[in-house]
Amino acid sequence: MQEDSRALAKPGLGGGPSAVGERGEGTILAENVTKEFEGGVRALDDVDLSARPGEFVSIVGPSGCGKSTMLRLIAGLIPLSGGTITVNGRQVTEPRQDIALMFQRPTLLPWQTALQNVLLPPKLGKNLDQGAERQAYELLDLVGLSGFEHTYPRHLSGGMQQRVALARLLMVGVDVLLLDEPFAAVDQLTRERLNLELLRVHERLSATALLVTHNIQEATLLADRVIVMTPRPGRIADVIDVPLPRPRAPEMLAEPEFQELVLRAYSGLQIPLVDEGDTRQAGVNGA
Amino acid sequence: MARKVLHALSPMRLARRLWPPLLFLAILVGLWELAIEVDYVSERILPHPKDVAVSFWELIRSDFVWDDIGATLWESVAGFVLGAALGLALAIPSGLSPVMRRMLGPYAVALQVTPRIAIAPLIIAWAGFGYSSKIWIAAIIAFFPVYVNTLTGILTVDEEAREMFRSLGASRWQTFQHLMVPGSLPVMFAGLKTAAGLSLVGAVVGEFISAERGLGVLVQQFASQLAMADAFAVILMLMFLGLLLYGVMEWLERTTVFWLHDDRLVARSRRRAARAEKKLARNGGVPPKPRPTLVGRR
Ligand SMILES: Nc1ncnc2c1ncn2[C@@H]1O[C@H](COP(=O)(O)OP(=O)(O)OP(=O)(O)O)[C@@H](O)[C@H]1O
Ligand SMILES: [Mg+2]
Repeated sequence: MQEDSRALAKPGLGGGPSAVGERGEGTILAENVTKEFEGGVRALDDVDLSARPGEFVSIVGPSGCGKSTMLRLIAGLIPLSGGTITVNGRQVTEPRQDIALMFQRPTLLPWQTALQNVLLPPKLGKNLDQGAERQAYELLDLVGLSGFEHTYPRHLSGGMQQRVALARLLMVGVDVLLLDEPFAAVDQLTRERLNLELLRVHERLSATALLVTHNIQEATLLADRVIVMTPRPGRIADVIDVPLPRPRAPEMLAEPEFQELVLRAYSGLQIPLVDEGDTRQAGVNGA
Repeated sequence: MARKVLHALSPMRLARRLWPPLLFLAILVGLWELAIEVDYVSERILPHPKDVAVSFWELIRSDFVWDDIGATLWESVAGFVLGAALGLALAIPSGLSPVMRRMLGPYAVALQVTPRIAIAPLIIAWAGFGYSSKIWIAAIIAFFPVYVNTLTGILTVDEEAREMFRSLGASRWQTFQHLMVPGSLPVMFAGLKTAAGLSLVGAVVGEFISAERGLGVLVQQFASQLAMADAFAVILMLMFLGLLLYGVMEWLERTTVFWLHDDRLVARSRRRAARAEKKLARNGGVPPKPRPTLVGRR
């Protein structure tokens, strides 16, 4: 895999890992990735992206810059138009068992209990046994849902449903977690709690995580690296290393070092700070 | 749960729930009596409610009417099953394959927009005066709602859930079995319920055209003899048959699509929790032992 090391050493990828585990479990490597949809929408244009084993990488960017497309490509759900994507040392050509993907909505099966939903991956993988069941109980406990194992999704709140989805994701038992705005549909308070739970889980599991989010603070607080994308066509504008120590805590939001990182991300997004919510102006207000 | 049921059946609550429909019935029967009393309609055309009740009672004590009830019930149930089976058999491949959908879709719509009752005399000419012709008429009428609703159910299964199944490496059969089938059940059942009612219509229409037995035959006979109280009584019987079919479908729906009904969900949650607890006790009562690593590498 000579090409891999070349890409990892590329400047601008920030914190590009050196010799560590190019072939190791949990490596994501995307090179010159281009995706053009039918109808000529160029969702991604020559994007390079990498993640080391155990690394937490956030992707931020305005709506429509190709974040979801990037995750879908890495998950092998849609075909590439150009470039290559390698995960765990193997090129991605179709959906794979060693990559787990979590969507914006919980997508639980309403006819199954929380426990049954978490047990879906082993059930589909035909390795549903006592060990799997035990693990499902533990994961539900880990995401703070013990006591709700036998409750159906209809009787769980939105945040609880997302936690079931998170437990199901962890049940897949892989080294690569792809999270596409996993908590976008819940309220701010719940979302902050779920983020911290995600952090805790990640720190315990040492899996590689790729998180898509709209929230720069959130992206920075959680990640080792923040990838800033711009739209039309989707490109990487900046890659920001986050050298804050782990475990991360919400108090870090107040630290000047953190503030600086956030400001840098904003400038990468070319969002005027007075009007930070308005992504429509992102392309126009080039600094 | 049990307490909840008892609560729902308590006399006070029953009274509170039942008075509006009962009041309306009283008003209706009152107006009916009044119309006859003031000679707005002749008693020969519109019998007294009391006479209808008497006729109803006498009919169900006679021997012959049960054969007619049985005939109509058999025709509509068999017709429903046949129509629903055809609907499912065509909707499932249509839902899974766009080619099949384009192949069958136009003809299903053509069959729908044709007044299918017009086909009934033809079917009787082909299949004879016996039960089978009524069963086919009921089936043809019951087919369409099952076909359309099942197809809609399959096509509207959540796209993200399908993507999730793909990302988990599910086979086509697994996706069908664990996602498409349960996912399309709620909409499918809406079609089945409509079809159950329509199959009764089909059976009665078939009997009107030509039959030896059946409630449809009875209505026609009584009406032509101007035995109005008897005719009304038979119509009441048809209503009860319809209610029976509806009730059975309603019950089937609540049992099958349990996840749309809160009471069923709560009961099932309880049962599953109890079963899990028992299993735990069988394994020595120790809580599951934590694994050294949380994520098993498979
Ligand atoms: N299936 C598709 N067919 C055609 N165009 C698509 C398709 N999916 C996405 N696109 C286009 O690709 C671009 C990127 O879409 P994508 O969903 O990746 O954006 P995103 O960054 O995830 O946005 P958001 O933050 O709103 O989720 C958009 O312009 C979108 O219109
Ligand atoms: Mg998206």
